[in-house]
Order: sequence, then C-alpha cells, then structure tokens
Amino acid sequence: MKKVIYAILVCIIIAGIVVIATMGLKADLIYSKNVEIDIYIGKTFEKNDIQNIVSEVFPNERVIIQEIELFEDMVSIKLQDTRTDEELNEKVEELNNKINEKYEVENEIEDIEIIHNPKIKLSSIIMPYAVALGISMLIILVYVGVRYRKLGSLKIIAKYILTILASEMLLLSIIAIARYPVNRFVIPLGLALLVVVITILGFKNEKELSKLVVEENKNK
Amino acid sequence: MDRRLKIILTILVIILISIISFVGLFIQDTKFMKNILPEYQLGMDLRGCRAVTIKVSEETETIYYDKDGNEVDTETEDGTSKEVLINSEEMLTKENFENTKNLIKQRLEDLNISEYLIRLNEEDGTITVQIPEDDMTDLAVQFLQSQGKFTIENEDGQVLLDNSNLEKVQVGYSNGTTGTTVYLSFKFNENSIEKLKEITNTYVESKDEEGKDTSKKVSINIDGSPLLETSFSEEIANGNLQLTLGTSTDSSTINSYIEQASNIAILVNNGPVPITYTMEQNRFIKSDLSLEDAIIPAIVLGAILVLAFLVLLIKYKKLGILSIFSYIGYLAILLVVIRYTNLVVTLEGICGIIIMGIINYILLIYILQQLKKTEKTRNEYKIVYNKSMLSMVLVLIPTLIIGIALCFALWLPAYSFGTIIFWGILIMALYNAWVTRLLFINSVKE
Repeated sequence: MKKVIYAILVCIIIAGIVVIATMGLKADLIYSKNVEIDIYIGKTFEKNDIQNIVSEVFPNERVIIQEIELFEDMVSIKLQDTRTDEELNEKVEELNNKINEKYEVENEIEDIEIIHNPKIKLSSIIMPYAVALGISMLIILVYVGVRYRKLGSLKIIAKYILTILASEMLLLSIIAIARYPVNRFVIPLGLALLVVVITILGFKNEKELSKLVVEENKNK
Repeated sequence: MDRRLKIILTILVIILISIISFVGLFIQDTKFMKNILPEYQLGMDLRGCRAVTIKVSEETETIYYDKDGNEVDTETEDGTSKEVLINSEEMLTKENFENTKNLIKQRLEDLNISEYLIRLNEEDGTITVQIPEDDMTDLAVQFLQSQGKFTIENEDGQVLLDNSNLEKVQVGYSNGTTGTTVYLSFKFNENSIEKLKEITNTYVESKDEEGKDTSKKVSINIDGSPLLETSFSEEIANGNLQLTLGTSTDSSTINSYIEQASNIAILVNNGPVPITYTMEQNRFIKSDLSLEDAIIPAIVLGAILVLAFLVLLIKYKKLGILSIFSYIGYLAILLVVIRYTNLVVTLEGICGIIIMGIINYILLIYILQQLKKTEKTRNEYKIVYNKSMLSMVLVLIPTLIIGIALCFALWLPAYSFGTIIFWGILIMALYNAWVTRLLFINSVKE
C-alpha cells in the first residue's frame, strides 16, 4: 500500500514538473498583467455594492476591489488585462453609467483613470526567501546529522532532504496541475508545510532514538 | 501552598492574561476608555500600500543655436531653436527600462524599505511600485522619480565632473570644539583624481585689491539643483572631496544632517537613472482583505480549535481541562508579545501564529501521552514531564533555526514569519516548562 502511495506521489510530482516546464505556474490577478480602473465616487460606498455592479459589467471574472485614499470615496477595480482598448473603453463606460446611476454622480469617462499594470515575475517574490532558507537548511542538516547519529547520519540527512524536497515539490505540482493561481497565500502555505514536515520528522526521529536508547540500556 | 490553590491561582492568572490579550487593557482617558495595549502592526497585504506609477517623461526641452548652428545656452539674435524630447528615442530601450527598475529596487533596499512590489512594462517603460505606508514612504516616492544625477559645473554651466567620475559617496562625521560636523565624502575614481586636482587649483578663492570676492566658483548639483556653490582654498590631490552639511551639538539636528547626507549618498551611489520619469499616480490603496474576509477562516479555525479541545477533554479528563487553559494562555502570551515587540504581522506572520498553535497542541498531546503511561505520583510526573519537554525542545530546534534565519531576511513577510516562529518557540519552551508543568504536576498528590 505504501509503495502505491509513493508511486502516485512520484507521478504527481513528475506531472507537475512537466506542467511547470511547459506551461509555467498560473499567477493570480495580483501578480499577473492587470488593468486598474480608478473611479472617484465622491461619497463613501459599500464594497459589496461596487462588487455587484462590477459583476454585472464583467461577469464571471476575478476582480479585486480596493478603497483608495483616506476618505474612502474612490475605488480601484483590478481585472485581467485581456481586452483591447476599444473593448475596455466600452466596458468602462458601462461601468461608469451604472456607478453614476447608483451614486447619483455625473462622472465623465475622462474622469476615470485606467492604468495597465504589467505582471510581476514570480521569482522576485520567492527569491527573498531563498538565501535565508538555504542557510537554515544547511544548519538543520548538520544538526540532525549530529543529533541522530545513532540512527545513521547520512541516512537521516538523505531522509530530510528527500522529504522536504518531495513535500514542497508536491505542493507546487498540485498547484501547477490544478492550475490554481499563485496568490499571496501560496508562500505562507509553503513555509507552513516546511515547518510541519521538519517537526514531524523530528518527532519520528526522537521516538526512534529513544527506542534505540531503551534497547541499548536493556542490552547493557 | 495547597496544590489546588496553586492550580486555581495559575488558572486565574491565565484567564486574566487571556482577557488582556484578546479583549484589551482599558483605562479611562478623558471621556472614553482607551486600550493601552499597542495595536497590531499590519503589513502591506493586510493594511494597504502606497501605489506609485511613474511614466517615461514626454517633456521637451528647447535647444538654442547661434547663427552658425552652434549649440548655445541662451537664445541669441539671428539664432534658431529646436524642441527636443528629454528622453530621445534611442534612450527608450528595454535595457534602459530594466536598468531603471534595478536602480529603483536598489534605492528602495538602501532606504531599508523591506517590502515592495515593482512592475515594469517593458514596452513603454512604465514602472509601478507598491510600498508600505509609513514614515519612509514620502522619501521613497521622491527617490522613485529622482534621477540621481551628480554634477560639478562651472559658472558657464560646463560639466566638469559627473557620476562617471565617482567611485563612491560616504557619510562621515567628526567631533570638534563647536560640535559634531556631518559631511559627505565624494571619493573619485583613479582616472578622475587628476581632474579634481586641476579643478581645485583652477577654481580657487581670491579677492581683488578692494577686498571684493573674485573667486572662480563651481556648483555641486544633484539632479540639476545646486547643493553647494564653492571655490577651493587648497588643492585636493587624494581624490577625496568633503562637503560639510552642518555642525551641531544637538543630537536630533545631527541625526537630521546624517539622514540628509545618507539620502544623497544613496541617490548618487546607485548612479543616475538613464531615463527621466514623471509621476503618473501616487495614492494609498487599502488592502482588499478586510475583516469580513477573515470571518469565515476565523470560524473554521475556531471550530477546529473547539474540536481539538474536545479531544483533550474526552481523552485526558482533568489533565485535558488543564491543557486547554494552558493552551489558551500560551496563545494569549504570544499575541501580547507580538503587540509589545511591534512585530509587523503579514499573511506569513498569521501563518506563523497558526503553526505555533499547532505545534503547541502537538507538544501538549505528546506530554499528556507520556504522563498517561506513567504512575500517578508527583515525582514520576516530574521526571516524565521534564524528559518529554526536553525531547520536544530538541525536536523544535530545526524549526527555531528556520525562524532565526528568516529573522535576518531583509524581506518583511519572511521577517514577520521568522520572528513569530522565534518568539513562538521561545515562549513555548519557557511557558510549558513553568506554567503547564506547574498545572500538570500539581494535578496529582505527593
């Protein structure tokens, strides 16, 4: 049974690597090329009301709605930058009409700011962690090699490297295969997984070590 | 003291700390009640950010020519003029856009802005930067559109030295009888030492017979604005030009001079931006994650916690109840420490708090399992508890290493995660070695 599970996990990781190599990871709206539509409403508004209007104009699209400035009377709407200028202007006009109607304002289309935000390289978000985590992994491997030397230093080090790599690769593969967008929660999830895996490995090794010590004492 | 009294007192203290941590510590402040507990410091993801967009400038400048077609500084009779773009077509290359982005990134890092997002539109060179809103924001925004062009010019506007002649700029200070003098030290490269020497011999202080100042002066400029107009009283042969920013005995004035000098050094050391940019957008944008968005995850986490408490209660009875109190106390103390140490909480930080909660639960379960196997005497409990704690601490050392390593990361989300893990493990070890131990050991008779 264990072997079957391992085989499935290896298959998922291989498939994930292939997907990442060919298609890459899918970035969430916040990191991908997006268009930002900034509208001055002039009065406070409910985010849900804006959400409803935006859903009518851009149905079934992922949008991010944010309040701008301290007076909370301006809204920023972000969505995927997939339209031509003409198509976008049409939609913005429709959006403006609906907001004018809802909030009884008379905004002109020229009053609306449209900003095309380029994408962010996903590597630039991951890289700041690389050095710190790399150094800590080296120290951890030295520590576990010394602490669990009775269980076989090399075996333990190999076990740590393989388990950590496999677990992180598995997470990445699932994200890639499912085409789940890489958003702000992916890195915290990866860090959590790393800590949990290391803690579980520590528990297992401590248990094995204490068993071994008990056996050694018995033999003595 | 009676063991039951010890337990009751400990639980009361835990309840008190929990109320302070989860609800607040309120005192009367004029008409209102004020929470004296520091507010949580939130990161860019949770609070919002300053979004700044800079665009390649489309401004033009007028170039004047004399009647012979030579370029001159001012309009002349019979001369001509031509409007040219500040950024010529040849300058607008992908390479220059990329260089500008890297320079901006470097400036933000030098300003110790520990969290930022930079986007570059490779087609038109537009750069969008998101930075946290704090005391440094306005300075950082200023740095985004500054070119960082350093020049030493003579009175005719002729550039004598510029960034290409500089090796580095350093901030220095010296103590004298009048106070502390803060200065900027411009170190010129090997090839420019002679040139500087020549300038310091040409542009010297002088006075005519009537005592009128006839010195030939140079102006030291940053982005075209004069920092100082001066002439030299002695030759500089070592390639090191020192500019005094100010002298004072007041520490806040000295600090402001140092800050001013550091900012100039950051700007000049990173070299000039190859393209001139103009500000397109500069506004604070609130986070899209609101308290409402946190309700469902909070309910889910709460439900899991209740289930976990039920497991403790059913499986370990009296010790289970004590564990629940101990667990709540641990979370309360961790949150108070986060507030008092002014840790910036980001999504990664929240993740760190959740992980610490999970690990503390595992630790309690592990200790309870070991205690369940042992004889119900205080001495046995002490021995088993201490042993279990020690092995748990050894298990947590690798996690602590990750926490400490991330504490040194110059990236706020990583730092937030690292510091919370660090404090979380430290508090976990101390708290369980003292408070939880006291509760568990006093739960059995001598």
